[in-house]
Amino acid sequence: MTTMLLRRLVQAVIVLFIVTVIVFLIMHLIPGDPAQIMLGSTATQEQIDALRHQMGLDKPLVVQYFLWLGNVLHGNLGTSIFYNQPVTQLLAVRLPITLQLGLYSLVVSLILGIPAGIIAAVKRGTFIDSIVIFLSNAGVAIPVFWLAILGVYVFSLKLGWLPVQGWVSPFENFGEGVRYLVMPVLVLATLPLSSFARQTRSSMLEVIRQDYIRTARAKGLKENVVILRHALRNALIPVITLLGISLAGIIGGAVLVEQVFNIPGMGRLLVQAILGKDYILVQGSVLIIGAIVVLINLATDIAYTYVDPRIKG
Amino acid sequence: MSHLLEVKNLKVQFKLDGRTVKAVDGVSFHVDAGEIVAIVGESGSGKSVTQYSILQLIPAPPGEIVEGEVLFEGTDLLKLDPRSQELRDVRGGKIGIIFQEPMTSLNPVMTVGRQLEESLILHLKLSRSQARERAIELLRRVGIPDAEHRVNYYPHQFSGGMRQRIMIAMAMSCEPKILIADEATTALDVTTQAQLLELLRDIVRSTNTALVLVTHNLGVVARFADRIYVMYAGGIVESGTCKDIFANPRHPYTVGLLRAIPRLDDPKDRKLVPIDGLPPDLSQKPTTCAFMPRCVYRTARCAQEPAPPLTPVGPGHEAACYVLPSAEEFSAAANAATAASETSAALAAPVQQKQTGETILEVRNLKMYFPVTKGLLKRKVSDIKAVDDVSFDIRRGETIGLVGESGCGKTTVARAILRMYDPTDGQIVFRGQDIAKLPKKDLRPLRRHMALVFQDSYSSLDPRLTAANIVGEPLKVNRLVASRAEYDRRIDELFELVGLRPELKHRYPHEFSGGQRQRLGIARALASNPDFIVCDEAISALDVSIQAQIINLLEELQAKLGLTYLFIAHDLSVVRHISDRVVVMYLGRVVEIADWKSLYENPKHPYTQALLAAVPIPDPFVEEQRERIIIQGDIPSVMNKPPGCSFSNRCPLATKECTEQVPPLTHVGDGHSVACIKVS
Repeated sequence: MTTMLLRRLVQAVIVLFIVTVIVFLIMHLIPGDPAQIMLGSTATQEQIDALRHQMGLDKPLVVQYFLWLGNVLHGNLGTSIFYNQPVTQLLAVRLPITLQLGLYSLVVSLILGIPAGIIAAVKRGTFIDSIVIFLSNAGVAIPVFWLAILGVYVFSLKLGWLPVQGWVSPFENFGEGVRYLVMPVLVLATLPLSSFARQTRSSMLEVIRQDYIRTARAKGLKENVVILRHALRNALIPVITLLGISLAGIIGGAVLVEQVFNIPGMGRLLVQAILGKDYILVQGSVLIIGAIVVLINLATDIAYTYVDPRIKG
Repeated sequence: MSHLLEVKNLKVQFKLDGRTVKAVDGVSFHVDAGEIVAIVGESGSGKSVTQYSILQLIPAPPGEIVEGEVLFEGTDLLKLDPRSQELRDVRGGKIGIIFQEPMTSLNPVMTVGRQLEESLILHLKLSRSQARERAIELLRRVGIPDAEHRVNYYPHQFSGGMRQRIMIAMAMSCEPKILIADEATTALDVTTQAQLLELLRDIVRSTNTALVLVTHNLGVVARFADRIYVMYAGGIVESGTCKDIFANPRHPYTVGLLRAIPRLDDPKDRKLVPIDGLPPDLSQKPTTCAFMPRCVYRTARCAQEPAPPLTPVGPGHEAACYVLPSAEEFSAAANAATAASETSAALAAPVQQKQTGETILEVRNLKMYFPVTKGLLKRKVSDIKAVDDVSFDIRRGETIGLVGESGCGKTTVARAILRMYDPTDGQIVFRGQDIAKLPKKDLRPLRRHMALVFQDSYSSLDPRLTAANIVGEPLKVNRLVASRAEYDRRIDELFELVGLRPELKHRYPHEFSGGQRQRLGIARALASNPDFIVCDEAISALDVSIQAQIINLLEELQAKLGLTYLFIAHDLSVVRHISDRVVVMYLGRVVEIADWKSLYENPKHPYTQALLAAVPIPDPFVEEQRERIIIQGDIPSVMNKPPGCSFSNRCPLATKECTEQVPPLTHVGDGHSVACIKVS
């Protein structure tokens, strides 16, 4: 158990290291000289050279990397070119918004997706099953941006129930915050919700056929005990795998949703940074997103060992 | 007199792919308090479905209980809703079930303690802590050492035998009136099987619980049952007391079963009499006697009238047959069948070259180790010594039986000999050449002289290849045929050789029955004209009536083609029947080698003795007289071999010196070698 955790931890560190290398190289692999781009086409060669020297771009690549890595490890992600503020400060404001959005979406998709899958599996072949299958297939197939636009059109513009766009923190004004959250969270949750429903349904169907379920029934347990205590925990094992992948997907999806709903989160910051060629900010944001995904995978692996006692070092 | 459990005219069907399979078709039987009743039948006979239907445990849909009554303590259980409190009180509370597969019948993500406590809290209304105490007590009772700690273990931390003990504890936990054991020991090793059956019997006898043993193993039945029901194709064909059924069987199917199985106390030359043909397809079950197409005693009446009902043929003895042949008729027919197959074998086999004495394969000090890795960097910390210093030789034309329980390394030996593994050390001299270290490319020309027949005839045949392609592949790979015409001719020849009609060659594996698929596997093995064939549990997965067909086929082919077999099996009766010499393995080492006669009649190693004593003989009269040596404990894992003699921790003769050195295999005369310092 501890060996396994240690091994996973070492692996996570290795992956993080590779992430830093890739993120660092982004800046140097994109065509064009960063200093040149920052200064614009009117800059003289002297100005460019001065900036290059100031940014350390005239040093060998390996030296630049380790200088940058050293800064990163000290919590210094550099200064945004566009905002002229430390990247960490910019992220400190926006990251919590994105994390909230992701977390709420995750909770919604789990709370709705897993029970839907269980009910569909238990009532296999019935009308309810068909509905769950239809909706979850649709949820996987429909593009997120289309769903977002449709939602805005119907619920905000036509019915006027929800705000069109924007963000109010639910910690400051709960009622208003929730009204602003409903649409982005539902849109962001659609894909993971559908995947959870589909995966839960199919793994439940698989588990229900197992011999130990027959053993549980032969003990005289109530059907709901058989399903919830004996079948579900086994059926959740593949759902956890999906959880890791979905979380990474939610973070990615947040970029899109924040853009559509004009939410001042990290996704929108990243899009602005890319469009504004703010390489320092892109580096910092991508690095943080990468680190989050690595941590999610680590957490998934740990959750695995908790749910399935057969997994050991 | 009313019975504890009485099943009347039970009919169960399954609707599959638009066909209706009548799995159980009018079965009636009863169980009285405290008795041991056996339900015997081959796969598909409906014996398990009958038991599951009693508690409405069959999956519905596709299953459906069409008709019948199950009277238990005055209530018809079939009238109860499957989710009702009343039926759930019976399930696990008054009727307990032990299922066949101990590996899959326990929930993998719950500790065994919790799984045990669950029933106790439910039925006996115990508190959590009382239930825990009782669970520990139950585990101790079924022989789980260190129960206080083990109660918190998960199922995967136990061996198969241990898990089945836990299943027994679970089924017995609420002191049921009836315990149903559905093939409960089939998947286990013989010594474990014997331990568990004794345990079960002790428990039911001491608590006056009725035990229903559902099994295909007639030996188990003979040793333990009071009364027997024989099932065939969804119906009961004969019932009676254990002794009546074995001493005076009246239904041709019962007689057929008894003739088809090799026994530990058989005369060696007894020819097994298989039941020809296959059981009927239960979706198109005839209205006449279901056994008629395979029956040698059938008359015109059998073909015209509806299936015969069970009629009394003696006190407490019933059989469903119009003919009811007498004992004399049975033996006359058996003799005729033996004579017929002997003449056909004699005609087909002009060259009898059994045991020419020339050594075809010599295994010298074979070692096969697998590395054990540990820690972050997967350092190699030790070896699993799966095969440790094994030596034996095989002469041309003989059959060597290789026996031992699971994990003893018998399959590893076979795979190393065939160079599917690269042996760690030792020599394998095949046709005069040491192939143990031979590079793969030099090995190829030798490959066609050796072949393998697998245990699982289903997964060892590619489902997307036709039968002809499967059998013909070795011909192509080894370039043994020059033309398409020769290829086709050779395939037809191979099909006929194994008793399959060549017209079937364009079919796919799933269109064949289990026995037929095993014939295909044998035909494939024969394609390259090998001298040496390894049969790795080749008949273990087959039903007894089919088993006999394949054993006879293997023997005929050996006589006809002068083949040499390495016959790996855990069924000691079969090995005795087919082998000339036998090698007994235990935890990666050979403990005894001898010709079959001295091994079975005069086993010297304590392990061999225990192994033989554990095999039940399908004859209640013999079983009564037999002395029981039941070895204690489980087979340790190969990783935790006791020091010195591997058997020392379970051996009744073991003393301190046994743990000090590994006893060498010593010749004790007459080709008989034993690895035990207590035997000289």
